[in-house]
Amino acid sequence: MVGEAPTPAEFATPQDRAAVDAVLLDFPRFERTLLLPVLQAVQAQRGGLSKGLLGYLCERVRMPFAEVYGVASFYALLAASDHPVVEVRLCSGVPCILAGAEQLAETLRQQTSASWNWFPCLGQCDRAPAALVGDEPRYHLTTSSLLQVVDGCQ
Amino acid sequence: MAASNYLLARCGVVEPTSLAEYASHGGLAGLRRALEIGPARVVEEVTTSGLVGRGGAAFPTGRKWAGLAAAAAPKYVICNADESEPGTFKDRKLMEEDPFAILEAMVIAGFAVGANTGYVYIRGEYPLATRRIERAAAALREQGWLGPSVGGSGFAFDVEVRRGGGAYICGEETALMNSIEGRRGEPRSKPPFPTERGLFSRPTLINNVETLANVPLIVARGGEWFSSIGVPGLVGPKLFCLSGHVKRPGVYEVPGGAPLRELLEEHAGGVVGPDFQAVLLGGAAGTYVTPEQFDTPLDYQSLRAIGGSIGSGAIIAFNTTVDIWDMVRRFAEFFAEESCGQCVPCRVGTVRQVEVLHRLDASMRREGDRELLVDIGQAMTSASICGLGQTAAAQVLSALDRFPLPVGAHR
Repeated sequence: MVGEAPTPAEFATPQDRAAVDAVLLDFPRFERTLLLPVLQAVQAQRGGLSKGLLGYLCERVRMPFAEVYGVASFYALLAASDHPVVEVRLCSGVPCILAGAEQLAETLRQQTSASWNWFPCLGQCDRAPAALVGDEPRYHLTTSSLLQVVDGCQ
Repeated sequence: MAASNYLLARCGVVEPTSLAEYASHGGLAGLRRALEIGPARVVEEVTTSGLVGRGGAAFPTGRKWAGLAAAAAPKYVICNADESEPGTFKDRKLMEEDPFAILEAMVIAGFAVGANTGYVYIRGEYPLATRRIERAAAALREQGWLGPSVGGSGFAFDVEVRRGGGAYICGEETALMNSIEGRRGEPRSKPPFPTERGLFSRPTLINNVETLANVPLIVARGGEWFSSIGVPGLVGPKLFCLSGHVKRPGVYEVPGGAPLRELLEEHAGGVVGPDFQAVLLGGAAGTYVTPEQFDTPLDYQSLRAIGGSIGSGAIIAFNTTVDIWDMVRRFAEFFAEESCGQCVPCRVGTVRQVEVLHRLDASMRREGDRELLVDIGQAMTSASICGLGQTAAAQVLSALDRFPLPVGAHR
């Protein structure tokens, strides 16, 4: 006999629960329109939106898991997975490519242990090449300035 | 060189967090006059001005406002600050360096159309713009320019700032509304248009940041004054974002109808490298323009004649060293990544485009690939739900039109 499948909330850690509880204190009257701001605020505390965390949030705001996961997984800046958000998002926009973004990618691959991925145009094309390090845009990047900000975060 | 210094007049000149400096540099004049002349005349001024939307669709702003003014309350005003078109950063500059102007414009818009609530939806990758707008809103609230009685007039208006989640598609107006409502940012079918059924199914006025930046000027100085700037094909001042192979990339303001060459050579300082090969005009959803067309005036009519459009105002320049088909493929990859997947022509079409562009080298190209790209493009353009799918093939079709297919096998 197979037992009942665990609900997502059962995977929530005490830290996940505490973060959700703390954020919901700032949103005392939760409505669906507040879902994205709540997800952003929780991710800012926990560095990601694990399945357990989302499951617990669903219980707290009385929404189906599929609805919340559907929203959380739609947005590129949210990490709706058990993996935390990447540290560096390197702009893959064409102006950044023309300004040497691919060399920066090589630097990230070879000279750091930072987690990173390519990210669509960040809107810093006048100061290419650019990346988001954490939540903050960095621009006019060179190999050395990139290493400096990345090391500063680790 | 045709210069215009209205939209950027305060950028880099005033302290963007100071309401006092804003007010001493012409700020709040539009709102003060609006409260004097009343909502109907504000809509009249905007209509007279001939302003059209600067987000890309070029819809007459006055007509949109008049439609909203006639709709039943409650209604909403949204500032679309989810600027995500590749090569576009003018809204970022306006919000970072002149945030009060955008909020002043929203209050004027709310007053004109009879809305009491506004939302500013700012792309999540613009944290500084978000902080500046939030700070400006707090300052305006403190001085009574936002809140239960704007400037003591009895008109109530306030704004809420929302951060995007990192989705290009949310720049599409109905996707943006779904996002504010706490849903996936997938576009809705139109009609009904937002002026009828928008945010929370209520009539909604949604304008781009740059469009709004024109509003305080129009109301303060009059629609007639505004319509005397530029050319009939593009009235008023216009911002362009220059990037890629130019010496001075940045945001430049010109009167409507300034020639492309002037922006490239004089404002942006000319080419980096040997010579211009082409520019992509209007963003990733734009069209390629080659040097023999650089004297074209940047207005809607003149560009239509050469099959181009202003789009978001992005101008990405490529010198002759660039493998243009590599660029075409990268822009196509962008759309494949950003398609929301809701409708088939866009979800499948954007991916099929990338597949074909990957094998476009002479060594791998299959018989009929050119025709296939045209076919896919036509299906996407005519059958997609929203502007993303409808325009995602434009740059591919434009490239097929302007550039020979690659001859070597170098990728």
